[in-house]
Amino acid sequence: MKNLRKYGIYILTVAVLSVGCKKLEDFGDTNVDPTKVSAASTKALLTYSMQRTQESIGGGLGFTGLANGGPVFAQYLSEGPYLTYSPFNDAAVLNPSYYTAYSEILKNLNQIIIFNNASAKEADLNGSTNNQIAVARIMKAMVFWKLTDRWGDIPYSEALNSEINTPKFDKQEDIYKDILKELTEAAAQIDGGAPVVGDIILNGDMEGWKRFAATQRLLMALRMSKVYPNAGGFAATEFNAALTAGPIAAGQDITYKFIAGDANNQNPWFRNYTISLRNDYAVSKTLVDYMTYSAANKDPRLPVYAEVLSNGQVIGLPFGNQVQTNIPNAYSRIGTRYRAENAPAYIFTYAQVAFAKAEAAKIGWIPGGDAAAKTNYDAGIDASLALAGVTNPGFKNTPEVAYAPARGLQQIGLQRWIALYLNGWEAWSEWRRTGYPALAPGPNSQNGTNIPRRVGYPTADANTNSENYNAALQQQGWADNSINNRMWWDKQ
Amino acid sequence: MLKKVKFLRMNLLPIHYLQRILTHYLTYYLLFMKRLILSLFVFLCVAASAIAQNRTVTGTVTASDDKSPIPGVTVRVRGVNAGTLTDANGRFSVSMPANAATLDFSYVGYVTQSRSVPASNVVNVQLVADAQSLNEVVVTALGEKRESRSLGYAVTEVKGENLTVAKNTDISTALAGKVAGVQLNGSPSSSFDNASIIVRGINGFSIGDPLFIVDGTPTTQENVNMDNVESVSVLKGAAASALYGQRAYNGVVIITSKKGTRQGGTTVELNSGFALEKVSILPDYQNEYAGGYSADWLTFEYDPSVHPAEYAAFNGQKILDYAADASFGPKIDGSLYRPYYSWAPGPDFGKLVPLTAQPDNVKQFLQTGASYNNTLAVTSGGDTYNFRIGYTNQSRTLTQQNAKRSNNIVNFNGALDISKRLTVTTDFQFSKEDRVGQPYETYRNDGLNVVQGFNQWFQRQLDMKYMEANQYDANGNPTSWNILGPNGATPDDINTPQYWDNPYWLVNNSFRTQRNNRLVGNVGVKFDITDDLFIQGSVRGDLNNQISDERMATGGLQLDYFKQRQFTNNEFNYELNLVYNKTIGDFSINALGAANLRHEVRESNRLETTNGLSFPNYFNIAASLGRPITENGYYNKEVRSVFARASFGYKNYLYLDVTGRNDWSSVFAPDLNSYFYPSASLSFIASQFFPQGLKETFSYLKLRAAYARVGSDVDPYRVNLLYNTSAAYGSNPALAIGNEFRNGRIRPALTGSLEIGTEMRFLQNRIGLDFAFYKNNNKNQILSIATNGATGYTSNLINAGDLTNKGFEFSINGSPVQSKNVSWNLTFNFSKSKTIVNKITDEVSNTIYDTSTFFGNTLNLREGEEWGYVLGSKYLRNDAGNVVISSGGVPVSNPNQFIGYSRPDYTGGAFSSLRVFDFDLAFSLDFSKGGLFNSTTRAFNLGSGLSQESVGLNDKGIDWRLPVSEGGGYKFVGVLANGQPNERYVEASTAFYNGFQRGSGEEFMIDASYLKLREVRLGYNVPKRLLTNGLKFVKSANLGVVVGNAWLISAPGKKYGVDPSEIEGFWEEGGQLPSSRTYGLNLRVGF
Repeated sequence: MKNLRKYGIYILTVAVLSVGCKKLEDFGDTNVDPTKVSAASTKALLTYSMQRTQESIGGGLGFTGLANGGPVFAQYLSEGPYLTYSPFNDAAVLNPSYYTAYSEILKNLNQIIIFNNASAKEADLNGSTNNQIAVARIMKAMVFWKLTDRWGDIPYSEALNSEINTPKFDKQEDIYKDILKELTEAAAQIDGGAPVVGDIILNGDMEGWKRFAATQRLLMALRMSKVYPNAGGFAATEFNAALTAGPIAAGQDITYKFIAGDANNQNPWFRNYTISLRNDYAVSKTLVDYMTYSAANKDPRLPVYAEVLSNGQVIGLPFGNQVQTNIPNAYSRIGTRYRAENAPAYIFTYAQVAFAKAEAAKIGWIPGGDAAAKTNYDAGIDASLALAGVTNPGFKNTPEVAYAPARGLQQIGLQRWIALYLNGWEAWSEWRRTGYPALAPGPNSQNGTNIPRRVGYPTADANTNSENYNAALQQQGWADNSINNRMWWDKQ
Repeated sequence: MLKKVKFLRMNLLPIHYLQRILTHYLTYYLLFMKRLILSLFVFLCVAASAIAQNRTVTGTVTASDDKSPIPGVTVRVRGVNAGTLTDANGRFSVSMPANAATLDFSYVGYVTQSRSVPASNVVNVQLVADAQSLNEVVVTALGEKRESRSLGYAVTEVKGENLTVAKNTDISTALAGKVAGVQLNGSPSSSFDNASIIVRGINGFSIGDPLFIVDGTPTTQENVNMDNVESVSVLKGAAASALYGQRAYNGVVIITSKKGTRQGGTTVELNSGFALEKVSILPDYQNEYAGGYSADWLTFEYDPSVHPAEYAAFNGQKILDYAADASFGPKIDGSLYRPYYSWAPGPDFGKLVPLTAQPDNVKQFLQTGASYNNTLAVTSGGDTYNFRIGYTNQSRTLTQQNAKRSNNIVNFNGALDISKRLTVTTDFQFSKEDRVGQPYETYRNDGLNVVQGFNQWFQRQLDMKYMEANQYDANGNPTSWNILGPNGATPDDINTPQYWDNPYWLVNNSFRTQRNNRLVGNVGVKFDITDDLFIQGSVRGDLNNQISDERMATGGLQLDYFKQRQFTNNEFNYELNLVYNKTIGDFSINALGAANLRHEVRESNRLETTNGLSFPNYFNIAASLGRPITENGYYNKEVRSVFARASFGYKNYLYLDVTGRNDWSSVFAPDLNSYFYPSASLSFIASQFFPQGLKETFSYLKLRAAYARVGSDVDPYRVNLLYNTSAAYGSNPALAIGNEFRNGRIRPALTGSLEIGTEMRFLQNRIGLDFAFYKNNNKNQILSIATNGATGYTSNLINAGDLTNKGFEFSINGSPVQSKNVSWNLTFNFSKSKTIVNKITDEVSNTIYDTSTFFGNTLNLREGEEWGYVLGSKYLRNDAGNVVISSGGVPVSNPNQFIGYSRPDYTGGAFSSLRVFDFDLAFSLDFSKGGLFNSTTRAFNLGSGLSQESVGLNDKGIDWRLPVSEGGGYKFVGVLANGQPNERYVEASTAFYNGFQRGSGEEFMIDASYLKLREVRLGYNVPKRLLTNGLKFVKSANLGVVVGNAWLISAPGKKYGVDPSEIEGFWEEGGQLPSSRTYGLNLRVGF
């Protein structure tokens, strides 16, 4: 046993030697990954958030909405061989996840605010503290608005907090009011300091961000028209305040610009048709029919919106067809102008503002009545034609299109829908609010005569946040997670 | 000087004559070199004094029953440190000092005898077999050979010959059904993939792989050369593996290579196999309807505005909807029609052919694969050395086109006694693997998983021979069966591919390649400090360098690209072990103290072209038209460990093992990175106390119990929050905060494991039984919990969770027939394991582990439920249990419903080996009962109208493929929301695509049960009497006929063309490669 002790000492000595005489728990920088950046920068976080905001990532918020069925819900597009969204019964696509919006976009925007509030080095040289915070707040407000308009009540006040794993769902009304407050405060926060860096939407144009905020306030105010219909009511007041704050004017459209020649920043429709060579979508017969006012009066935007086939025709595919159908050469796909590699996505357009003002005038929120409505209606049409690269000043005066007070709201609704082409989720929201233009499901609908009025909560919520999920259904007066449930602003 | 000794000893023959001279020489040499060696090896200080001699005793050891000589008997001189082993003829010769008088003779399975040495100096001994037990020796942790009776935990050893029945090159598949408690987690047999195994079920939140150890060196299963395997020991529980630390928590597979023996002389062995491989299971395809979306024939419509004048003559000809990648088209009735290729310029332009069925088109694409597997090995040994050198050459082509793997493996192992006390050992394996055309798996839209295309998006009438012969059109562009078609299209557009390229063109031009250089090995030194104590040091390395690329050829539907990936993984282990063995009276002690340092570094580069290639088929990163994607990866981890074990034995019937280990892992914060874990196990041989009468029937009873804890860590860089760079926007860099929330304070996880078991043998060991029950408790694991995404993070890395894995396993082995000319051995094993999620966190009671690619089925961990709780959409049923049908005529699905559990209820297998005279027949079976897997193959085969399931008559007796307007259409059985029966018929393509395929996920969660005859071998041992004259140099020869992956006897998935024992993911397949069967010849020759 004496020997054992001796050798025990030997072995311990060698053991210690074998780890290089260091302290056993000291591994130096072994646990630092040299391939990762060690510190963030707010400008790069902003760029990333904006990139993700436009992308039609699964469950994301794409303005073009390819992966999420927006243009199908709005019936701009019909599905060809693979009927996925249009039967309105596919649980996998009708209950999309919104999580990536929080984790890919909102969290990173929120971090910009946190870094700035802490005067952290990550925010240095990326714009004045106020300007950085203001842009992050406005972007957050935009994303949350798009989210609530699709799902209804969503996690908001308790979201983006790693400590709260089961956040409650805030009421849509509260979210709307808080977003409006955020937009107002953020615009006011913009100072004369250095403009924000990493801004790939407005390139640091701080006046542009004020317009961004005012435009969103304007459109959100109008979105509440069913719940606050009265002139002088909450929504009308907000609408007027937004007008005073200064939404975008003609030529000030806010777009997300794609980059030609950059596979990581190209238009998703380009990727779909030209890179992936997928021909799953054609423009819908619904769109073609609405843009064909009479045999003599075809919308000049139609051959731009849609592909002209070899026989010189634009042919729309019936929406929600009963049988699977092959598209190319038989039906018109999206026009080349809208699926070019660098075709922009429209965040806010002057046409939208003009149609909003036309409707507000018609319903008496702003003065001027039908005369003001017509002026703005005409301006909206001209602006939309300009966006499509079409010059046709007479079009707005053609018999079917010319503003007629008796069917003014219907005309404004139709022209807004045409102007919002491919901005599917937004157009679908406006359809839900106004009912214009009239849309009907296709013959293969498995949802009766209903067009969805929301998308369902991700099924994961029912499992991972069941208490709050059930409370959310209850507080909205819903028996289930149905796509036919109406949200707060979508009053019957 | 040292070198010279070695030289002399290896070259002087015959050994018997020279042994004495050499012994003298070495003795003097050692005495002379004593000082020098002392200065070289600090431990030698106690060694030298032992060598002194007075007389030489010789003799022979034989067995008492049949008087045959016993080689390898330990002959030990009592009281001094001297001894030897008997040679092949049972003879020995040992030197004894004058003061010693007694020799001890011991051999496994025989009663130890002691004899005093007479004046004649000759001792002949007959050893008596030990009837009490078979003192089997098994390989345990750290490669130690220990008597199985002394172990308090379950170890199963499988001999090499039982693993290579069908000359399998993959150890996991070779182990299928052969070890109780080991479940095969298969992979497609028609790929180059290795399967994996799951030992004793799910032991944590995620499925873990066991640790593979080859000759003591931790490595990956790719480094197991099956032709070299002497035996495999599977250590199943934590107690068995506490000495390997955390990585052993999911079990350890210890592979011992064949080695040269010191008495065996020189042998040369040749093991040569050749096999053919054919597809064995395909889905049940329909052969009645051609491509298209509707059963009505389409006709060509001449349109002068797009078509040339000569097309006018084609007006009204029958055409198919070529652009459809589904088979809901017209009935295959032999009518003349225009095949897709009749629209391409060339000799077949304008041709009308009869529409005929092509029932074997998929089979025609899947060719016969061939494999060669040859090993040549030389084994040799002398008194002081042994070695084995082997070379293995393997090559395999698959049933898939353009897929080839070749593997060249060189092995060397050896041991050399530098002195009586100092031995150096080494094991090395170098392998060079080259793969071309590794088949793609899972669901893809790019056509690269070709078989997926056949089973999911295809037209059943397609003629593969034409496709193979015509891969390019007149302009040199690749052809496609899936063309736009002539209606409304100009001649330039007609042949534009839609969704799929010609599969032959694709696999021949767009494929991946991979080259691996692997080196695994060790160098060790063992020094016997005294007879009872030795020290051993080893350096072990496992190196893998891989370059792989992936190419998409120019001209097809996909944008051409080239991707390259390169990595180098290095793991080094530095070990130092001190082992003490001593028997004092009735007590024995075996103690180990050890230190280990493990260092793992992995580096990788990934490059990808973007926006296409600058020149056609210019496969180079420099060809990238856009800025190429480049990425570096790095992994660096170090674990420092000290550990010890002590085993105490009392009178050969009571044994206690205790172990303790402390690890320091670099992945944690410095104040949290040290963790200690112990184990204890007990073995009691109860049969020791049985009366002799009972022993004749109940020969052996052992009871065992073990408790262990195991600590674990995570990958490096996992505990701190990450910032991930992303593709820039112009010159604006982009960066995101990682989606896993981490607070940096993760602690090592510790898990408890309890095991009790028994071994019994009956009727003179003719029947054996081994039973084990275990319970693992897994608390505060390091978990990446899927969080509610609204937190801004998709997961959270925390210490949490409480899971219990309970199970039992048993195996029975028997020898129903044992005679000189006929012997039959049978084993059967069965195991059951169930992991229950007791708790996740205070807040989270359900977390999603995985989501299926389609149907939104999820694999969940849910509090109070078994691991692998599957949720998904089911058919909505009313209170009366009827399926609710929507107004549109298809079933309403009800998302997020419980469908079942993914894990099997039980698994097991059987192995039989029968020898009749010179013939031997061996086979193995394995089975699994229960559990579910998600079948995308079945869903799409149905949804695209390809499977036989999609053909039939509706309740009116009319073909449901016909349009509804003609009385056809499919009617779903169920009721409408108002309770009235559904009366609506829907078009077949809508019914199968929207009603089934995109409908309820429950339809495609399929019972994963199976029973499989895994392998069969019929061998013929060429008798010695035939190996005469010119064949005398052949010592042994065996010729075998083998069938591998022989027969899926029964499985619910079989009718959908899926073998559940080899699905690509453990609960999901997205486009399963078809199962293949091998038929081969195997020749084993010893020279």
